Amino acid sequence: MKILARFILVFFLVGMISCRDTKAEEEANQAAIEQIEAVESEVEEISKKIEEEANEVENSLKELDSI
Amino acid sequence: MKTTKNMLWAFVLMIFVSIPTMTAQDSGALTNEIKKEKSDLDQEKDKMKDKAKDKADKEKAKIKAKEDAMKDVRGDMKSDIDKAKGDAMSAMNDGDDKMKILKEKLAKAKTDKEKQEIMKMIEAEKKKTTGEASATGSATAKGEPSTGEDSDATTATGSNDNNDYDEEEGKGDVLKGKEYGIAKANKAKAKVEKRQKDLEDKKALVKNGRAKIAAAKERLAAAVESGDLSEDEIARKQKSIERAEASIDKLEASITSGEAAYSKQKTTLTELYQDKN
Repeated sequence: MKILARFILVFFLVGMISCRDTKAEEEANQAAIEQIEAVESEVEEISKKIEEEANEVENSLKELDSI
Repeated sequence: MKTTKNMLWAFVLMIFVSIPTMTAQDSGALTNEIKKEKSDLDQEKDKMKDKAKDKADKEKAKIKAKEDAMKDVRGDMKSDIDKAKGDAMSAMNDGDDKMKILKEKLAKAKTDKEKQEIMKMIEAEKKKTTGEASATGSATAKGEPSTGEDSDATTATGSNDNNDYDEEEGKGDVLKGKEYGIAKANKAKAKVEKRQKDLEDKKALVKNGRAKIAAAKERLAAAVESGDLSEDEIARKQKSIERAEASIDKLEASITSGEAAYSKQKTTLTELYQDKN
């Protein structure tokens, strides 16, 4: 009976620990993914801005051809 | 008197007898006419039916001929598609063996750095396989070469709510959790690297722009010296040069800040899973 109680207790503890670990890992992973997505959107924003400015430069340089 | 009465009755009886007979005769003539008309109508009806049948048969023959032609075309298309599929499958099978080995390595890898390297190899292999498959498929079916971006679109779907990463589309294998994150980070890093390369083109544009502005300034100075231009024209040209200079300065500043941001983001992405070892 004592062995069985110990076994159940150990099993319960292992279950608790493993559950907590998974949850923490999932949260960390979710945070990392959110960070990656933020980086991706920032990259897109910067490249879009640069692209727009490059178009503006090209247009203004076309005007110089007539000089 | 009695005889007269009898005669009258006889006359009345005769009339009664004759009326139905006459009616019958009249009706017989009518019936005959009706029958004749009916037979005429039947004949016309039969003629119409025959004509309609002939027309329908002709239409059917035409449709059948068209269907046969379509079947031939479909057969040709099917054979082309089958050929493309065969080529794609053979390319995929070749890649599958390599992918299996890499997956085994990934499962055995202990550190995240190792995992990242293996993930890179898997990505490269995947791109190669899908690239080959799509190239053979599209080249045979459409006669057009495939682009690298197409393979990117089919292999990696970033916006996935369940955090599942489509490793091999159509096969049901998905990356989850940390592996998904690593793959996503690698993909983002590749994107940043691509943007960094694009910045080089923009730098070249700035360089060319500066040269063009210098040349335009020289041309304007020469024109001013010769006195060919009016003051308005000079002012207008001066203004366009200034505008070009301003836009180039702005672009240059954006490029500089963009470079810094990209390198920072790249570092962030690299360190993201290294920190968690």
